[in-house]
Amino acid sequence: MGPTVFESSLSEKKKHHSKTHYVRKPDEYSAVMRNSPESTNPLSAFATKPRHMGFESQEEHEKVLLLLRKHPITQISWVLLVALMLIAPLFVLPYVPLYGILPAAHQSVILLGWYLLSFAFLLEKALSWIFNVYIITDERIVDTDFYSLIYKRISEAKLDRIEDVTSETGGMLRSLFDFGTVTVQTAAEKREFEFEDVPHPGRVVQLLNELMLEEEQEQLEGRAR
Amino acid sequence: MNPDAPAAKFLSSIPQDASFGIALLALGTKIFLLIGLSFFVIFGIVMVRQITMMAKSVETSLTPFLHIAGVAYLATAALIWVFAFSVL
Repeated sequence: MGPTVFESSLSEKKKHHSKTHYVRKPDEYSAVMRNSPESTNPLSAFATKPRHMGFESQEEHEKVLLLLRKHPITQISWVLLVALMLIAPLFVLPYVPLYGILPAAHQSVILLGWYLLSFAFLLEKALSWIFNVYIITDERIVDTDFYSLIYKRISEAKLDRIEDVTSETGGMLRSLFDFGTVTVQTAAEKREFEFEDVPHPGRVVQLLNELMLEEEQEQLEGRAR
Repeated sequence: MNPDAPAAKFLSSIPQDASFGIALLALGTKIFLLIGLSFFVIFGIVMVRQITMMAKSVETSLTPFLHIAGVAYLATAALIWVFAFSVL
């Protein structure tokens, strides 16, 4: 009996186990993902495997692994300012000279206008915090910036273009609340990404390193998409 | 001066008491407030549009609530403008 030259059933089996089409799940290669549950809080500043979340240029099979925002403690200044603006009329208006001589209708409209201004400030700051996000997927990093609400800038870089990752935590507040800046050097069009004042910068760096290693492994094994 | 001259008639028509000053101040305040409130209405329109654009860039489960907040702000600003126009 001669050697087997072509066996179609064996070729079919090999196709199912082909490494070219096999993509490992993040939990398999990342300790950060393995030790982090799915995040369901839409206001979280460090959301691992966030549910019900996506972004504009997300591809069909691309998974968002980490969504980052600035640490909530960095927003305390405007929160306090809004609180002050809301209670200010009680203490300030009685002492404003011209206010007292105006008719009651004028006074109410001025008061309503002040609260409109306060809520406009609150909305603008809240939207800025909610939508200025840094996203890490299993394929790339994305930096979404909205400058004063009307100017949008979205930068992204593939994981295999990342050259260097650095984290910086300085000062008492940052050490106490564990937040800092993660700087990512890339070979992409935008050379440097800065994830400013994000929580757990050490874990972010660890995740990026794990993802970079997995990308290298995929390239070597011919599994890259 | 001839009391029948147009200038004399105009001068005699101006009230001499303080209530005129206050009425002028109230009119000036009304115009100033209505212009100011118009800016809030315009801001509300921009806000609603921007929330839509932002939600398209980054989709979250908060999006419906943010849309409601934006529309509520716009509606409130418009209502306050109408209120100011009618009572001032």
